[in-house]
Amino acid sequence: MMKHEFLRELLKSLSSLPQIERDKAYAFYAEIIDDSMEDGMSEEDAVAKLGGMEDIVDHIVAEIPISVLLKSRWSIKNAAGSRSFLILGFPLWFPVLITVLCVPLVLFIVLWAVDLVLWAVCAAIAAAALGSVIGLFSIPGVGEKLMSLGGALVCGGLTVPLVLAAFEGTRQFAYLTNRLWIKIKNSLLKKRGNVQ
Amino acid sequence: MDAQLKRGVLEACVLSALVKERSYGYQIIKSLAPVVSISESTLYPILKRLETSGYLAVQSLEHNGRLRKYYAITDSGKDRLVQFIEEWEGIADIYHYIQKEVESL
Repeated sequence: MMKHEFLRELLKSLSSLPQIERDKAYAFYAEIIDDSMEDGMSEEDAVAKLGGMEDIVDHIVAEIPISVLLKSRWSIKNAAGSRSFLILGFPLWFPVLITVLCVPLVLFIVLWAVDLVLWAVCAAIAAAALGSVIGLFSIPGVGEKLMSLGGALVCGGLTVPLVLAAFEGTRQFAYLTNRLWIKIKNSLLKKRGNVQ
Repeated sequence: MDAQLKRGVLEACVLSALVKERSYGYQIIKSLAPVVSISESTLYPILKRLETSGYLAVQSLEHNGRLRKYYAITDSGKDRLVQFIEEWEGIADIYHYIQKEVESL
């Protein structure tokens, strides 16, 4: 792919972004390609070295606040003269919009609810372990004391792997939430270029 | 490496590449290549963040009939680097402790 083709695809992929963001990205990549070529690289190699368009767009979009993306998309719609459609089609697009917005929201809530449950189980078992330890010293009778000791050992033993699992769960959920957020932001882009 | 950790390290790398003199995108990638490999798509948001945070000053200058953006580290950028070193001194102590324990395995 040649420089002008790459830059055209880049602008197309970023068409829903504010002009200033598109200009900045365009200037950066045009400069990198020019500098690579000045350093002895062929035009095709200089473009190929940049990697896939999807990755490039992901990195650009990730840094742009969601409010800017929404505002930009809104202004494009208005500029297209679709104001009357927005009013007349309200009964149609509003429920669809709510549904579309609810899907990631529900996913988000479910993910973190699972994580919350994991931590709640950890807390419950840790509390049971603590209770058993207290019981060990406060309950009279050898049999009861032995039962408390057994409870403390089992619950204490379970707490460690459960905390580790919950911690790993939080880490993974945080990663998934981040990916989900990037997907939502990307979905606000009008059209993606199909570049290798 | 953890994404957040990597992000902070790469930002510090880019700032360090500008301590001696101002530079431009392609040159920053080249000068960091022996230490860390940064792709163009990774560098772009890093430069943007550093500029927004006031750690970099940007100037467009003419070069061979075209404009090239030059990045220079600011005083707050230098302060950020000093802060980075201080933070990592604590991490280095932890690293050496873990290393010592692993060696005794």
